[in-house]
Amino acid sequence: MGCGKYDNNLINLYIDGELDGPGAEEFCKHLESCGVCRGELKELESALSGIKKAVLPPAPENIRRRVMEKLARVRKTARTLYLLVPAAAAAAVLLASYISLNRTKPGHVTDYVNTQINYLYGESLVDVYADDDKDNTVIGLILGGEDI
Amino acid sequence: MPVPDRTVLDAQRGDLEAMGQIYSAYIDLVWNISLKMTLNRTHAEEAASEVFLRIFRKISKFKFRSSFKTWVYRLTVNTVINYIEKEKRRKTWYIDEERLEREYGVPAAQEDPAEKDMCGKLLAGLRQRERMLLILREIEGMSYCDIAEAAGMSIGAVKTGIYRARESLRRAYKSMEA
Ligand SMILES: [Zn+2]
Repeated sequence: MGCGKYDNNLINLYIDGELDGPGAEEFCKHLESCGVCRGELKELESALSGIKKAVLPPAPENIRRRVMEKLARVRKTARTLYLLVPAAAAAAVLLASYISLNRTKPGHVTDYVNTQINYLYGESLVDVYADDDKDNTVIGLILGGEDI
Repeated sequence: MPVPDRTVLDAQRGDLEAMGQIYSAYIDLVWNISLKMTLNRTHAEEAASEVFLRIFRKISKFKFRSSFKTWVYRLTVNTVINYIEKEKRRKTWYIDEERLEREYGVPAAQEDPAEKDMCGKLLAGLRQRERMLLILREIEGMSYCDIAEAAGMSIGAVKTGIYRARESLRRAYKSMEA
């Protein structure tokens, strides 16, 4: 790439308008006499305008519907949980003490109730509060991303 | 059009109307990146939905240290790349060449038909990381500094990445011309 005198790094700086005054002047002069650099610059500019040109279809309205419906649903569940979870926890304690008083397999029932509570937490709150994102992995993904 | 801080604060408190306003302000940005990265309408719809759900899931963590827009870019970049990786693992990933042409084509009457699907084909010929960097730089018109923040990379790595991506693009263009 490049004619030997200038490499594409310089063409990039030129395109970004980052060449300093004398550098830019010198490169412009070189462009006049060098077909290789002129050709590569022209190709690059055409290619760049090629990806800028396309008129994309507008975003379909069903994305908004999908997102807002899910948000409304999650919020409703979360509200129910605020009421439900303390009640369920109280019920669990009561049940557990009742059962242990009666000495009949306390483990099973409390486990069951706890599972239910965890399930409720997991199912609904995961949408609102879970921090499952490893933001830093984007470096790895971008730098090491596979080809499509 | 950036949203006022007030709206972000309302959304952080779970105000659905504020979330709707944020959606309206950023859907074009998110849709553009989703569609140009996935090059597939169905995937783009799913990816864009995921982006917004993630924005609202994480919005309480936004501390006004960067601009909200940069933060939205960052989540968009992360989510769309994660989405593509996930779909590739599930083997449902594909770029449909015919649909690419239909969906990327500018209306035929408006432009030279030869240029119709150039954008989609050029982008499809790039590696995923190159595509993302060029979308942010050339299409979204972001500064190297903002891209570095959005992509979680150093400015040096962003510059090198973009220079290489431009070279791939130039070659892809050259082979299309030939
Ligand atoms: Zn030259």
